[in-house]
Amino acid sequence: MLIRRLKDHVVIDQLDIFSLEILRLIPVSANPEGCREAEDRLYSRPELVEGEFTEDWEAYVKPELHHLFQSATETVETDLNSTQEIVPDEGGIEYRLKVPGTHVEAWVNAVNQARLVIAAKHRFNSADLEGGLPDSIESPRDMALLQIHLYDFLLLSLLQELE
Amino acid sequence: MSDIAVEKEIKELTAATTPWNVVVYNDPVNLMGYVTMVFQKVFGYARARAEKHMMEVHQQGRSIVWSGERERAEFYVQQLHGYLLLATLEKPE
Repeated sequence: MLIRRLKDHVVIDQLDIFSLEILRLIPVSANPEGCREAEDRLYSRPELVEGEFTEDWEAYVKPELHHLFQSATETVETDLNSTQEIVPDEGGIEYRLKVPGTHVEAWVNAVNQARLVIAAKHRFNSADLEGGLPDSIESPRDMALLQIHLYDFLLLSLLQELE
Repeated sequence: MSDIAVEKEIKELTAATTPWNVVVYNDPVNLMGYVTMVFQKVFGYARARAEKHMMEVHQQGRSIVWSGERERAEFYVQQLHGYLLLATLEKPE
């Protein structure tokens, strides 16, 4: 996977089918529905002791946050639908994804959201996340860890493009 | 004005003028570079200041990233939640 700036787009290039499929998982992975831990992580408390601010937060801010998070994943989904298939000179098939510059922040938010939801669902701790890539993929948990590491790389690359 | 009324007024005035803190807590998932970027975007901090707060969060578990009037503090907490940081509005003890 190669990430570079091209005029007013960020291009994610030289994608193999496996990496592309992992990128295609971003919208669904960012969805916390059905997992209390993931929902609690996305909608964390705005004050240590619940008071009037929390009541207003639940009524007015939480729906706005929900819209914001959903909007980011929808943007990513739309961009993913325009993935191009490339046949390089040396043969095989690669994929290219062009992210408009105005969508990069939505990608950053959605990718980070996906990381947080995956980590909450699989209850990853610091040791899990800092332990590097799994040696082999033998369980959904190994796959989730690989997914987070790929998203780490993507997120850091996109952040560089935002600087 | 009675002593009690004066004391009450002083308390109310103090409560109104005491700055509120925006506090960010550590979590193991958000990347350090991401947290720095968020502080730069939300507060307009220079990179060095944003990194200082990020390191405080990382090493001490929390950082008071901004202090001031309540309405603005609430706005910042909302912004930080939009970026999925663990942030709370806190009144100093």
